Amino acid sequence: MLSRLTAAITSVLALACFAAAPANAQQVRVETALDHSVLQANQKQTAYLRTALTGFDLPGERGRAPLNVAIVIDKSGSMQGTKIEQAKAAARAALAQLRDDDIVAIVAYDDTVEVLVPATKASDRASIERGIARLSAGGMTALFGGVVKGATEVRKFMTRDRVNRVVLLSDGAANVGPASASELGQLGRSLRKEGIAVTTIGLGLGYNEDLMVQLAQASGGQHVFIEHERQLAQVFKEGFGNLASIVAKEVVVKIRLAEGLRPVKVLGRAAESIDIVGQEVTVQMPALYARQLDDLVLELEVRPLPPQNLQVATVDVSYHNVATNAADKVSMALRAEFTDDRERWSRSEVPAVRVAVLERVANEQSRQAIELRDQGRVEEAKRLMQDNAKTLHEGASKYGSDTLDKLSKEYDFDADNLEGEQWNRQRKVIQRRNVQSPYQLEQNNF
Amino acid sequence: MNANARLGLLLSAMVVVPLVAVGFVGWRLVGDQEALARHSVESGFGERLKSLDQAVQTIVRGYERDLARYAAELPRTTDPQALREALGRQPRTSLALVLDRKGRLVFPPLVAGIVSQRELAFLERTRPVWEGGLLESAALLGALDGKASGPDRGWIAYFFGGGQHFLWWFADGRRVVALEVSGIDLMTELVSQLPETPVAGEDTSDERTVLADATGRIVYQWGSRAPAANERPKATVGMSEPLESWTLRHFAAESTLPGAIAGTLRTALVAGLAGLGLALGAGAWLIWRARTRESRLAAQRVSFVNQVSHELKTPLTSIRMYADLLKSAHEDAELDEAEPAARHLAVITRESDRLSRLIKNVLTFARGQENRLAIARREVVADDIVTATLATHGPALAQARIAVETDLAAKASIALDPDAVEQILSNLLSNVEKYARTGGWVKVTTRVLAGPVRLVMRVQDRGPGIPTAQREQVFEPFWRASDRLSDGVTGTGIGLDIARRLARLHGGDLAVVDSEGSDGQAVAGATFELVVLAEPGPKDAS
Amino acid sequence: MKVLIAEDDEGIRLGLKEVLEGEGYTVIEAADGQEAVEKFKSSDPELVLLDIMMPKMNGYDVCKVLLALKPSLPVIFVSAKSEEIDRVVGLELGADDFISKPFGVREVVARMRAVTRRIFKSLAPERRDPETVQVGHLVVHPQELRAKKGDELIDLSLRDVRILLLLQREKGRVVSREMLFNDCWDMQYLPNSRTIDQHISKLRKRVELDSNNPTLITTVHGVGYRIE
Repeated sequence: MLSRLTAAITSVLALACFAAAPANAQQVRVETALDHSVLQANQKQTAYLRTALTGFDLPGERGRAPLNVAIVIDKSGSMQGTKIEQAKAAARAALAQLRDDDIVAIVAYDDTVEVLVPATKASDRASIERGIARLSAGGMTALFGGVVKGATEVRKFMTRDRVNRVVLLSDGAANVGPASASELGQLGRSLRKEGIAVTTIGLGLGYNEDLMVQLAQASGGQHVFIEHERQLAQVFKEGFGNLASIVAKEVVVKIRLAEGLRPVKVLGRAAESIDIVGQEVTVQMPALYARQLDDLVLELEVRPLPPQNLQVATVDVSYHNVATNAADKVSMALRAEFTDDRERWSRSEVPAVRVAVLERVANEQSRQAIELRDQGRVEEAKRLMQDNAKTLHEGASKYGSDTLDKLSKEYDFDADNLEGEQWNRQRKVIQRRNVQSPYQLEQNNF
Repeated sequence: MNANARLGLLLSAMVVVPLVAVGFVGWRLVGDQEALARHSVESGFGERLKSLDQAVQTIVRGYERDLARYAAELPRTTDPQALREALGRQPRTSLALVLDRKGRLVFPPLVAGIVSQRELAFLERTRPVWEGGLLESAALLGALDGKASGPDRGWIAYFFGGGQHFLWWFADGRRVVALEVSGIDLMTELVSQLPETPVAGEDTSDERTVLADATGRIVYQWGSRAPAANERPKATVGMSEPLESWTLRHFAAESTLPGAIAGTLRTALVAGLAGLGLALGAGAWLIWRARTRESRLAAQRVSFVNQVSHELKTPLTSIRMYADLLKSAHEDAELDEAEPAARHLAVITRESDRLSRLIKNVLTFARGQENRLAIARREVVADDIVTATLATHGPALAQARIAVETDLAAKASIALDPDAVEQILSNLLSNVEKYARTGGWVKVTTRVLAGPVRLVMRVQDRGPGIPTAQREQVFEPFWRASDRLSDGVTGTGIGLDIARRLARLHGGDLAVVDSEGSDGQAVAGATFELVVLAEPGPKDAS
Repeated sequence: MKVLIAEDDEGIRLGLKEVLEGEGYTVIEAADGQEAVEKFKSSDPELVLLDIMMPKMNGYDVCKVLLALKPSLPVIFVSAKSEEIDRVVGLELGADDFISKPFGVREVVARMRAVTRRIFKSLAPERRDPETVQVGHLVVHPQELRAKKGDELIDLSLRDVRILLLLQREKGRVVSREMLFNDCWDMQYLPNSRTIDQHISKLRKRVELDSNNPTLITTVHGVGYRIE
């Protein structure tokens, strides 16, 4: 009788391991789960917690948030020729995506910064066109100044209800003003605090991907790698289209772990946006697009605990809801059962989380591999990447995951392109991949 | 040198010299002005940079005000979490040091498990500040106990990891809060408020201002000018706290304003010189015209005189010639000289001679007035001239019943102008005919003397003579013994003037001397003595 | 001897012509500079009298042209322009003499004779007249246009010389007026006999010891003259 009751309670409680907040139509959907629905009791173990966020659907055009975007374009000497022409085309494509009540500014920089089009309503298309037409290349690269001036323009009309962005297009390394990745990262951080995200678009093979990536990640924006300028217009069109589909901004996920669980690290995310203090993990996530998925994976260490059903974590997702133009919060609690049953434990694998974990670990490995390759330890880097690929491949077949399969192929390709010219290109590809939400690799999100 | 040429030179000098002088001085002045303008432009740049620095200062002060507010608003708790949250909410800073009144570090907590990685890194880089006692002393010396003996707030700038970092501290008597201000944040603040380069086409000034940090690295710049590699800035200004080691540099093209100023001044100078030159030139030209007008008038007069004389001479030639022809034909006819025809002829001949002499005199006189009188010496026998002249005057003298006596001893051939001598003698004889008729006698004496070789001729009459007082006066042109027409005195009064000029041209002279009788005693009458040098004198015209 | 007179004033020109023809010269007239050059080319005179102020070409220019054609040509300027400069210019141009108006006949004659003497001097020896010819009591110097009558030196005209030489050549024989005319008058038509007689008469006055009783040139009534 007691065993039956225990079983019943257990199964009921097991169900409770999946915590999902009841989502109404205009709310971000939050799902949190551990990689094993059942944890081992009296055992020190590593577990993974995954919080998945899904953007809700925007109710047609009306619901879409007005944009407030500054397009910052590199017009240094390297942009001369078709690149600058394509950049202009891209800007025009972006402009076409904007509604009349969107705000747009166009800033161009070489060794100094010119504000070609100060922040203005997109309805003033003629004068914006004129500004775009004045774009001409030649000079050095004052990237820092360009971004700051872009942010200045965004600040002019910045309101909570708008999607406030700086979209930076550069083909080269910054050489005027602060030019290191860490400095630009700092800039990104301070811009994030203001609520301005910087999406960086690297054009060609001459830009500093570390810099661009840090700036984007720190500020909560996206990073895009465009190999050839003729792709610019299309990418801009897509990106600006996607900007309009942002449903949640200033997304902050706060996970509070129960006693006995220790947060180790958040996998595969920029260190800038993560803060782990004691039992609390705070992660600032980039904006969420409609119907798009983003997640974070937290590695944690579990102390030997007696069997019990424990609330292991509380997850608070706070964000600014674009649809309602109001702050929003989704909270949930996660419970887990501690059991001595090893069998049960191993069978309680949650594939979705496992896949996510694998992806994230691979991501970490990939970062390491880049470091090795940067240090010239090519062979080691190669081996690491190949191992990475293998692990992913195994996982792909184990869990039947297309995502893993695709990723493993990518890593294989990485391993083959560690030398010479290809490495320059591949590094950019890898960096881009590393910062992108794995579910949005196909997208050009701005 | 020709008088006109001299005048021309003088007038040219009158125009050129002041122009050159003014031009030179003016050019120098313009140069000075340009240098001055350049200097003031450059110091103007400096001023501009200083005011930029002021603007930056304003930004920084604004920053400081915000920071002060944050520092004040920071909860007075030692709870790290509360402080963290409070810091997290602030846009400008996320890290801070908090020291208690004793200068002990309160936040971030130096406790593992509580302190975050970021805070740890922060503590690491600010170690010299909280460990080294920098803030401590500030806390102690500062307004920690409310006794504001020193500053209660300030900046600390330090270098770490190749970058410059800033702390802004604020002491309120109970604690010291040092907020981290990242260099990037400061830069971001500055850059967002500093000007950008105006869009091409709108900005015509070729300048650039550069903001450089402590290491000299360009933080931000604006302006369309791309300075050359070795170009030096027109102005450099160090900035104020906390960016003391930062600089503002201004590059500009060489000649913006000073060149323009100089150009304008130079244009004005040139215009002024042109005006001056014009005025002087006009003046000079007017003077030239006025002076040369005299020459022109004189020339006109001369040509008039020449024209008139030519006009007069031509018919006169015919008259004389035909009178002569008549006479020779008459001689052929062997007519009596007393015949009326002979007498008539004699008159015609005589009067035409006289007319001829008069014309010659007038011409000579006119030339004399113009100082264009000249003589041409030839080796001649003076007596021949005397004889010929006396022959010409013969009829007239006979008609005037003046007996002619001669004492001619100038047989030597000497160099003189025979026409001039003839004219002199002719005029003297005419005067005798006119004024000394009553004497009924004239004597011509000639001698050639040496040392220097000269001809001395005397013409003596027994007329009323010339009073001593008038001996000079008689030579003045137009002076005649009497102006009253009724006195029956004829003549123009120019004869003696001409005669003397001609004499003087020979280096000699014509004068009235005492009349002597053959015994050397003074007698009545006038004696004219002509001295004519045989050697060319200074007055000879070449 | 042919003389070209270039003078635009008709009165003076004709007057000069009369004077010179009286002297025994053959006169060619020109009324302007251009005509002067043409007449010079066509008649080749031995002497030129040039006025300066002439139409079509002034005397200076004519002088230059003529002297270019015949460098040894004797030129006498006859002009109302009598300033020193004009003299100098004229003489510099190569003229032999400068007579300024108004002039007397005597002056012209004297200058003509002077120039003629020079011309004779410049002739080749075989073309010259002998230096001295005794004509009766006269010692005639044909080249000099002079004769010596005892101590007195008499100036002779060209014609005078011709007449004397002719008479001397025909000494003892009668020289008819016609002969005289042909030899001593370069004329196309016979002047009236009076002209010849008048001239002989005037000559006599000068050369005869006693002109009322001519001993040198004797009249042969109705026929002519003769030197005994």
